[in-house]
Amino acid sequence: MGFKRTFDAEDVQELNVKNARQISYCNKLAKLDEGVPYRVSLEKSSVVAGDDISDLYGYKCEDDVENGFETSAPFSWITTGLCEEDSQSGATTQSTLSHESPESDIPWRPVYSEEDVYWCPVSPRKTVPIGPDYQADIPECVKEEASGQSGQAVGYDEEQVTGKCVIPMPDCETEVCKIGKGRKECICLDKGSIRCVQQHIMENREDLFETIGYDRCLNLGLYEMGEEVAGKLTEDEEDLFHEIVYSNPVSMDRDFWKHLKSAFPSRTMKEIVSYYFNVFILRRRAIQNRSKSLDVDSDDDEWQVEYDNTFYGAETPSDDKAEKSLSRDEEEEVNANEDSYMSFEYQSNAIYSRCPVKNREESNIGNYWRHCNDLVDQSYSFDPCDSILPDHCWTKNIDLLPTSNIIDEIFGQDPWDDFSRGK
Amino acid sequence: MENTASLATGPDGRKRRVSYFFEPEIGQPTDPFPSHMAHKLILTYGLDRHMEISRPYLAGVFDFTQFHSPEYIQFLASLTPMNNKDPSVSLNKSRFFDLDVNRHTNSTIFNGLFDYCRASAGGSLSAAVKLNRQEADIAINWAGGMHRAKRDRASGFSFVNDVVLAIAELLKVFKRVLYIDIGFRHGDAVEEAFYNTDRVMTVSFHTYTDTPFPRDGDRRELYSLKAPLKNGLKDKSLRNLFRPVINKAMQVYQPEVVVLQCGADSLAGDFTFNLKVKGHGACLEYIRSFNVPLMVLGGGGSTFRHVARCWCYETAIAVGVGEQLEEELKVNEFHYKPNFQPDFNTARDIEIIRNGLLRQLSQLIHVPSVQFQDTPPISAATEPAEVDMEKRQVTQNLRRSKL
Repeated sequence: MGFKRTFDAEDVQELNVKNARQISYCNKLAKLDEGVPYRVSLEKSSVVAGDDISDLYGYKCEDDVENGFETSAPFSWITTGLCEEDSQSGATTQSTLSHESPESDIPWRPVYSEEDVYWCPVSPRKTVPIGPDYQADIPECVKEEASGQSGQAVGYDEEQVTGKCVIPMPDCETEVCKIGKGRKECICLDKGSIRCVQQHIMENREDLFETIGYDRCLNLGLYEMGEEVAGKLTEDEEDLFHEIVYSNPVSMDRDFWKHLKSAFPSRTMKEIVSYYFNVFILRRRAIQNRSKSLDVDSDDDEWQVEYDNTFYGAETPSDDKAEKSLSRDEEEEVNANEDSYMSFEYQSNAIYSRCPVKNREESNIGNYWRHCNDLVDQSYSFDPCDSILPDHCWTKNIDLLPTSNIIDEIFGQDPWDDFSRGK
Repeated sequence: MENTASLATGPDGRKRRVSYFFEPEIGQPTDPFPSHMAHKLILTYGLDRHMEISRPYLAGVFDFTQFHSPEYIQFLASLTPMNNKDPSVSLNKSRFFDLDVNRHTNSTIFNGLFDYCRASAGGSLSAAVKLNRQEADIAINWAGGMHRAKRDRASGFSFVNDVVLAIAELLKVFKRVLYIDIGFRHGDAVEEAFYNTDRVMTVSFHTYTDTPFPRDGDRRELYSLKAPLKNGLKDKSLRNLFRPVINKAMQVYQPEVVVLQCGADSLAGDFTFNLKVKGHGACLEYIRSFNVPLMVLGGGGSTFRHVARCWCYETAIAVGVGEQLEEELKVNEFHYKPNFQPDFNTARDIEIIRNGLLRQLSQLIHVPSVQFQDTPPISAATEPAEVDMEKRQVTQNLRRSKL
């Protein structure tokens, strides 16, 4: 079964002869194949002829297996690469031919090209035959028409061909994976809104804290993540934070971290960074994800959402400005219900955005209005509802500051009025 | 699951609708087919709870002759143990059977040969129709996989080529079929049957002694991938070749349905490969993870209890409980008598084959998807620049290398 390396000087002569025969055979093969875009190993064999034969590892077939190897073309297995790699076989370059009887008279020729060659015995007579006697008929693909039609099936009834069912398909419904399907138990009217998500997260957090205990939560750092972090900063501080970040955009080569650090001397850098990632970025992400405008760029670190925060419903802390805007609303002939939805939606989104409206460029005004319209559209899709939203959603850590004065400064009264008519 | 192309936690991570075909009436109770033994194991391990089980349609002459020649089928139908020794029959046998088939046909398989073919082909046809109608994600027929039967010639254990018939049925609905063959022998008949169309791509991992003479420069070769492997092929070697090649084939060819022939003659102890049940099954596991409709067929294998174990494990993989049966089925053990062969496929060999196949596949990206009939081979003139580049590169590398 094994084959010895024939590498001694005495054998080189023999090898030469064998190789010469092989190469001539290969050259004959070369004539058969003209134009070889991806098999150029035949070229290679003629190159080999000129090279130092001692680089070749040739193997002679020692055993005369049953059919007898009548090697008119020599039976040599030539591998590229070095012996060391073949340590797996426990011997130096080992490629044995099967001790069972492959067909005799098989020339060896390379099957793969490029710098590697993997030589393989191929039968010269055994090429893939072509013709009507060999190939199958390819039916037309009638997919578009065939849905439900069994008439397309050739010659037999499709119903019959599917066989006789012995055990029916097990019910997969119960085992359907629930991942990716969202909150099943959410019954909020504004399902999927920022407020809804915030509420559910809060609920689940409470559950978790109850389940695993306060201490563990503390150790896990759960009090340092998410909306909890928002509570660590006062409203003023939050506003300031936003202002600093947006007025020092990286695109203008400013470093807002530096400014933040100096603006919050009492806060550690850790706290500042924590707020940035746990609150600032996340809120922006939440709003941006729900934006319906087509030109949002989630990679744009300087994307800002402005709202005015004056469209408050009854739950909000009273404030001069708020009341003023509210009364202005009431003047308009807007459905009171609709109004509360607008405010409802605004409130939910406005929690997060108290960015000052300065440093806006002209083009962004369009975005702003468009965004407001988006929100309006959203709010109209809600069913009329008279219930007041749970207090804790609104009052927790939320003291909304009016920025209507700033908006008035920038935009003036007119667009404001247009907007409040709900156009 | 480390052996998958997609995440297990995806929406359809573990669950597939599996449809399984088995015909109990075919075959001798005293000399069961491997598919029977596999079926017993499948029931023993309760896998029937996870899939739809059906008795297949029994194919007939009309179905067979969609591919095979009428004379050949007539001969098959006419064979009985009685007339086995008739001189006229013998004559036809040499015409219609290969030498190795003649060796096989002395067994009792003869007693129900035609029925065996009907169940085998019928099962594959049923499986195809199931997939066509989208009533299953995976359709299994362990009695199928007879990948070597030619249009008018039997070969080995293959008399009627259910694979070709099934693929032809699939082509009525699916635009592109990928056929993968991990049986020991080269799935040459399937490759041959669909050689002229780019709607079927065949990928075969087989013994190197089976490699046909390739038609160099022929575009059709791009759709007929072959991996000729040396003796002693072990799980690791196959894995290192199978996964990258199939991954690329899926990407580049984008088949709408995959047919996998799971011939168990590539297991250790059968011919000269050394695969364990684990490595064999890993192929199915990998393909399954692409979430493409999949037909799973049987094939050869001479030590039936190993075959049964293998196919039972693969059934478990199909329904998603493969891991749970690994211990029971001893998938990580060798079952042959201690005559340990080394794996003659070195890492380098595998790399070479892999690179070759990947290169072939990447050519598909540049070749527009054209339906060809009898395309003549590409002449050198069409791509002279590339050819020269390659030649130059090869000769340069040769001089650098030790050859």
